[in-house]
Amino acid sequence: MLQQIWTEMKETFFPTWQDCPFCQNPLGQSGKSWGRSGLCRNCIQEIEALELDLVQCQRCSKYLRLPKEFLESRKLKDLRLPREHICENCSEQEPLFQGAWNIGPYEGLLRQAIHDLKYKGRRNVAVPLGKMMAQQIWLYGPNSSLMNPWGDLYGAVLIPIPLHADKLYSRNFNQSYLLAKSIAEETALPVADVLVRKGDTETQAHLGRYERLRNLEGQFELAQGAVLLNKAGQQAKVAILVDDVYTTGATVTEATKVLRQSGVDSVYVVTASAGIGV
Amino acid sequence: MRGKGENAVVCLKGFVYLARGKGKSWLGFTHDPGLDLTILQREGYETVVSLTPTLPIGVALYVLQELRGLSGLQKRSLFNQSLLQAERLWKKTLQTLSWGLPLVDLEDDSTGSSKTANDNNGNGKISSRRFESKNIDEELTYWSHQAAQILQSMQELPDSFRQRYALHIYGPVRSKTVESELVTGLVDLRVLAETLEGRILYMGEIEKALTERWRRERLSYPTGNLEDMMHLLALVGAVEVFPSLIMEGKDKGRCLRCGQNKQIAVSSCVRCGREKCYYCDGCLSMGESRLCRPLYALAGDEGWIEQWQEKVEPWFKSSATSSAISSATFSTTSSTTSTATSSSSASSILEGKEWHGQEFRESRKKNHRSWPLLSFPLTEAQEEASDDLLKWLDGEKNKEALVWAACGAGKTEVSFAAIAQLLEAGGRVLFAVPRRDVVLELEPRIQKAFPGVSVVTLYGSSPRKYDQAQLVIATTHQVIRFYRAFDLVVLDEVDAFPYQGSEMLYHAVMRSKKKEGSIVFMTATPDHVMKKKVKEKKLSLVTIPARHHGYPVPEPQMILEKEWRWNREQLIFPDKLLNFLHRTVEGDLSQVFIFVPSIFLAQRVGESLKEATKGPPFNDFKGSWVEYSHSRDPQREAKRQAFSQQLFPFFVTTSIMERGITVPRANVVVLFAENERIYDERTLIQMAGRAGRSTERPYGDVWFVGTRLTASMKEAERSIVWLNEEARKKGYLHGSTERIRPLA
Repeated sequence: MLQQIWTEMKETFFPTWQDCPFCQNPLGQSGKSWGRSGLCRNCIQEIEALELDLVQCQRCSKYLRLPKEFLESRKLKDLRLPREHICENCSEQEPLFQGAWNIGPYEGLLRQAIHDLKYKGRRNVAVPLGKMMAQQIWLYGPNSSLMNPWGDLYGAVLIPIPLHADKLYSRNFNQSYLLAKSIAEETALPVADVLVRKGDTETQAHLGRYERLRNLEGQFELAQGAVLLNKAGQQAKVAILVDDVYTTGATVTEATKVLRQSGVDSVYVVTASAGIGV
Repeated sequence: MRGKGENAVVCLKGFVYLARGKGKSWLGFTHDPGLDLTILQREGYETVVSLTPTLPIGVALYVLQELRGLSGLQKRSLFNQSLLQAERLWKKTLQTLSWGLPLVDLEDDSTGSSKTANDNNGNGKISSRRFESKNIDEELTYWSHQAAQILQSMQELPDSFRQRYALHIYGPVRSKTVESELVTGLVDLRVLAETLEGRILYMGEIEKALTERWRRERLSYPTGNLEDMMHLLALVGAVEVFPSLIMEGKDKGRCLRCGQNKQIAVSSCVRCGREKCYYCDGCLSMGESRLCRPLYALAGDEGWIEQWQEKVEPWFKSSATSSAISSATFSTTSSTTSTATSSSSASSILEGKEWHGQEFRESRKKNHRSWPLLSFPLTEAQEEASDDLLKWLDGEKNKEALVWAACGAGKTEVSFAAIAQLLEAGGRVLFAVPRRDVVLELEPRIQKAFPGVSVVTLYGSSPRKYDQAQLVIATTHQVIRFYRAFDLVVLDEVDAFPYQGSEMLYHAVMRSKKKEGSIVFMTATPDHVMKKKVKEKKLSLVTIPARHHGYPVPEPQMILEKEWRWNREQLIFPDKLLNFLHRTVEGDLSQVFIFVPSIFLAQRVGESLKEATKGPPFNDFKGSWVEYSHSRDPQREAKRQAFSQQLFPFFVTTSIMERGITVPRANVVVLFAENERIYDERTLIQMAGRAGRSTERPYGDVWFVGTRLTASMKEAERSIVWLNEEARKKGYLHGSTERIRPLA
């Protein structure tokens, strides 16, 4: 009894560190990271280091490896990166969405975290990921100002990419929905789980780009009787699609089509990570 | 049906019911009352009345538990009787409060709902008419009232039930089809029971186990619904059905799989459709333990399989078909559902030859007096410890023993004599170790020591996980799947278990042994809890204080530095240390473990040492003498191998190499030893124990280098000195009793 009181008191005055949701070491070990992600310093550094030597496509935020010669010639720190870089896919065909953001490339720790979330069922990983995704929205959301920090995203709704019902049953949760929930907590945008998947598609993971596009055609539809309303109760004109990984953009393009048809003017995409392409 | 692979989780929902017969009643849980009635009929119960709405198993079983607790109370106390009297007086009030059972509602609902039950199950009749009499059924009122109260206190009662609370009544089934289905299931039931014996598994795991057996032995895969079959076995009393996570009150859950109640998380659940379903974060890596997910267990010490004929079969035999079973001609009596495969395998089982479980049971009875076969004789100290263990096994009241051995004293072999004794008696033994590689290393040794015993090794990715064997070597995580299966459990290197000191380990191990089973903990570094238990005589102590070569364990030297000096990213090694390293390698041709507290430091120190060995006093070997490793190093296994083959002399590492690696000529240096967070007493002892393990060089030097002397450093030294003293007293040290310092 006394011991219990003593431990309670100790816990009150000297609380034990929470564990970092990614590496599961206590946060005290390498310190809490900056920002609101709740990760330890090591992990956040590791995630930031993933972006080294990569450039992002200006249009879809996919990652591209810098050419080798460029890397070798880069002696000075302030040598400029090729700013106006657009990936092959986007230059071939302009994506339907207005913009896409992500935390980092689908590699290393970030990949591990997404795997933990999707396949090992560690739902609490979704919280730091969502917070970091929200941070991306704050950073890159267009036309934000002091008076209206959301900018063009004012009155937007967050729309998670759905899973097929069978998969949802066997996995028991939709990772995109969890991410969207976590983003919603940070950005105060409402989550509208209005999309449904029609047929059972093959898993995308081992398909090529064109196969993916074909595989997904006409996959999504608006749930029956669903209306896209923002917080003010009006028809939402802006939507933000939430997904875990952006690889070819096939999934979000399909979803964008459906949203456009249902009266959404501009669609943005935020994903936890994006693939590395050419 | 199912078959989505590992991810498939089955949700089990059902309700708590009151079974009633003439002058008796019984509380139970079911998902399909038809099943219960077929069994309960034999005991003279006529009807089953649901007391709750359909609930996930975790909630329903909590309610059942509470109700059964009440029933004990009710029988015992007269007070409760008077309560019932009072309740009768207040029944009108209760009715108006809607929590007694308004009679009109009861009638309406019972007829209405049992009709739906008929539609769903295709069986069941509306039972006795007496519930429709104008008198309130007191017993029923009491139980449903209690159930409702419990549910309400947990806020588990849906709003739609607030006003009207439906009691479903299920009557006996008298259709022939069900009975014949049951009989054909009897073979399958046996297969199921054999697979499950001594284990506690999810339905998904049971399916995997069945598939494994089906592939290997060509046994039939059970044709019926597995949940229903399990439920039947549970009704007979053989199988126990647990929710993997049970409620302990409002918003309080406990994971029955790993036994903890702190890391319970809430999430919405697609399967049971609840917004607030709970799951356990503690054992997530072993599969999700969830409020609506059942666990099935069959105790290994109650002899269900051995006494199958007497204990289980009579329940399922009706007079018409019993003769058919004994003559093992199923194909004649079995109706549409039985297939050719099931009937053929049925006969093979009943003849009892092909299924290896049978062989295994027979092999138990043979005597193998020659066990254990050891390739080398035990030392004096080991011999004595071994005898002590046997004595403990025979006589002592304590069911738990601690083997406290010096590092490198050969704990493992000491337990063999005790294991042999139990194996000879036909018992089952579990040897649990912390890591996978230790399992793999141990298997050939054990195979050699106990020829003819069936041995199974279990680790994360091991094949044939569900084999039954007499001797099981497993990592701790795998132990979680056993249920009262072992007569003796040996836990090697208890201190190194991944969830060291956690409830999960303790829970799983305690569950895996039989009720009368014994446990041996083996460690070089018992924690204070164990030491305390020894003092309180709750734990028998066996010590092996001396190493096999009879030299004392090297005692650590404390080297204090004022501070650690860095030149940018280079650690500047103290001259003393560099000289020591040089002497060790070039003078004594030995290797050195250099322990550092973190991955970051492993890299820094490793690189620094590479630089440092390029200058004097070393000859320049271009840094090839130094390797560093840590838990995130993909090549750490290769480096471990290389180091133990003496390919390079300096190994900078975090504490991952603190155990399980033996090099013949080694010194140990612990850098940043003042770091108490990482280096507790036990880690320090283990690291010190790397030195002087071989006969070739039974001495060694251990340096703890730090900026201050910490409590754990002192405690580590004290422990090592104490064990050496112990050895000296018992006369095991036939080498020099003085501390050897060849280099000083």
